[in-house]
Amino acid sequence: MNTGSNNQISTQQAIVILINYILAAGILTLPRTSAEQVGTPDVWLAVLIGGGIAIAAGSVMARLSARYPGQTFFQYSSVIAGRWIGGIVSLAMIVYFISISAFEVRTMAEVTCFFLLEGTPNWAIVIAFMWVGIYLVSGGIDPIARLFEIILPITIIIFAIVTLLSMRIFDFERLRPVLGLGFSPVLKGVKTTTLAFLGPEIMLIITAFMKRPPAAIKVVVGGVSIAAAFYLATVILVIGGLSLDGARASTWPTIDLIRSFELKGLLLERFDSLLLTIWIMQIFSTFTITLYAAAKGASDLFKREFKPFAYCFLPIIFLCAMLPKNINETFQLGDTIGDIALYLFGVVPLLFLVLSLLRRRKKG
Amino acid sequence: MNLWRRVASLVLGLTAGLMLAGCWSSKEIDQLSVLIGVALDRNESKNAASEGRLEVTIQTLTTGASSLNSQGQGQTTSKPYINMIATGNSVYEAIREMSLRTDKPPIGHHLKAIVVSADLAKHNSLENLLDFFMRDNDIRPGSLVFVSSGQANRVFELKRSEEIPSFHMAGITENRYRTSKILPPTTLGKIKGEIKGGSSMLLPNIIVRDGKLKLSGAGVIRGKTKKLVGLLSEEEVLGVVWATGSGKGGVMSAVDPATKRPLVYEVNSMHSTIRSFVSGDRVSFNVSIRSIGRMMENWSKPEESSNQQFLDDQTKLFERKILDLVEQTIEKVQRQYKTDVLGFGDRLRIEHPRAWERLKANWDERFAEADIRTDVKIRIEDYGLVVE
Repeated sequence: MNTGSNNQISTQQAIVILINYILAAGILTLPRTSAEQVGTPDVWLAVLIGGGIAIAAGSVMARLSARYPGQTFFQYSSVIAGRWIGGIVSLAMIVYFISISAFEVRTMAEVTCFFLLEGTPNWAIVIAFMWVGIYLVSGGIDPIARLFEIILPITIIIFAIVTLLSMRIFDFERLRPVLGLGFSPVLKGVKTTTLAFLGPEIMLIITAFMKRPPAAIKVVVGGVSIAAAFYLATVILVIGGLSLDGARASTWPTIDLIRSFELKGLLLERFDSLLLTIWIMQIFSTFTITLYAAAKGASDLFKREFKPFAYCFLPIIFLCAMLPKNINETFQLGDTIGDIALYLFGVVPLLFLVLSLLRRRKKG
Repeated sequence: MNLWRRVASLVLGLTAGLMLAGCWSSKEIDQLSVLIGVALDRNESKNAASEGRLEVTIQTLTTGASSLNSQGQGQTTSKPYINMIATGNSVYEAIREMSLRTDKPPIGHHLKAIVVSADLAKHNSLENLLDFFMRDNDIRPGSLVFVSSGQANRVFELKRSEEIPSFHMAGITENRYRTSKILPPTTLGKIKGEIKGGSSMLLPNIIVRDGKLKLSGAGVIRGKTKKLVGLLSEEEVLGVVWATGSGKGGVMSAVDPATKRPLVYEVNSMHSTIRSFVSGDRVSFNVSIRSIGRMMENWSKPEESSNQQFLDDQTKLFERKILDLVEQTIEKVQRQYKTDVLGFGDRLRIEHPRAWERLKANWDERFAEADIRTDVKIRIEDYGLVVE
């Protein structure tokens, strides 16, 4: 039997963690944010390219981590770049994980308050959510992985049912023309769609727990591809169901899509609460894994115990989540985090990998 | 020590139990009134008490308990619904004004129909009139939007008191498999995209005739101004349905010129393909309509019902009839209303995206000048259960 001290995860579990991390707020907003940027129905192409870029960046991180088996980025960064630079980069990453955690919590609160629990104060929803989260995180990576293994199949089944039902209002003509205005509109949306795939950075940490670290690249390819399938389905169905202009005009286009039709004569007529359920589970998984990453990072960096950090970060995340004054500021926070991630996980790991390879050669 | 732990966990457990007991802000369903319909009219009364441009009528369902209570309000008897009227300069303001008069807050989850009077839609942008409905978190994008050429709130009062007008209206739009004079459902969600994208559209026109509801034609909404520019008759809506091939069934009657007696063709399927052509700034379209169906009523020459020569002749007759109908309809929206409600612009966007980018700013003018050719081919497959 597995005990609490088991801190190893299989390749499959790593893939599950990655998918659950990637899928989050983007499911509800990506059709709008990407349609705004692209402006033609070719949004789905931008999603594909974004996925490709995420795989490339993720592979760099996986490759880097696989070179130091059993160590997280926060441990080996000082070996590669020295204590100071390694420490500063690690600190930046911890701040990043905390802020993305806060952003997910806030988005969850916005949607829950608006659609489900009108009248319940924001903080009440958020605190309950975070307490359950810390309960999971304090157990370490193994329980996280096992819970995610339960969440993912539920997500896939419900998502498949709900989106297939939306075929009722799907009109293929709304996705035409393909590349009618050339390729340049697609490129305008690539940044937005790439940022929807934030998540492979977790490889910097979980590779250390993998039974077979060399499989890390496989994890990135598999995880991002499956997440890309989700996003692709979402974007295609939303634009085919609501039209490009409809997607652009909706704050939460995916919820709008599911609310746009009703089925008579079935057990359920309305399906938006189902969608929101799996969405909240996805937000929960992203919240817990980023909280775990931040606390794990701090504990590795300062060589102290893990749990106190996890508990300390909780109020910090809460305060950060309450910081945006309105929904525009919330969306803006998301954009800012994305911009930072672009450098922190697009450029930095590549430099570290090159540096690491050079050091090896010097030794040889 | 051990005892303390037990007491502490018991207290904690009980407190947690308290939290599970219910929703933070729950309201019992019999304390709510379910909003099922909203009608928007122009406020014409000069009474100082009724200020504002709009006259908003809401229709709510009454529950068994509430109809007992509402006797105090002077509501008569067994009607399953209540209509309330309020005025204001905005929709939400007017709806909230009703909270001064009823103890039950209306909830929007089950709103079925929104009716806008043609008079109001002529002078106000639909984007403004429907703004509240598109933003609200309870109201669903599946709610249907109608115009009414008469006074909008009259459609909420029917002669038969047990019928609920808002449900009835929504029910009629589901008869598309029986008649081709009904447009595809115009839901709030669909309209949102069209309004924001600046496309023109048709909204079904609901009226009261002899105390009963009737779906009669449609209102033409111009995409640029988002205001109503005119109405289409029932026949013209039939033309629109044929031109766009959006019908699911229905009949088409024609008069045999030889005998002056009617013949009826029942539609099994209809399909329309619009192709666009561009040369410079001139655009032209080809509309080809195809349909398969059966001869269902023959007053003209019953004895020849199954004669192939006769069927071939009648095929031409029906084709001619449909062609005339479609051409007249296109003529009307092109020349009189100068508003593209048939989706020609959309075809251009798909087939000639770059030309569309150039032309879309003044699309209504371009559309009015466009050359549109139509051809119709139908096939009579069978003639029911009678053979001669």
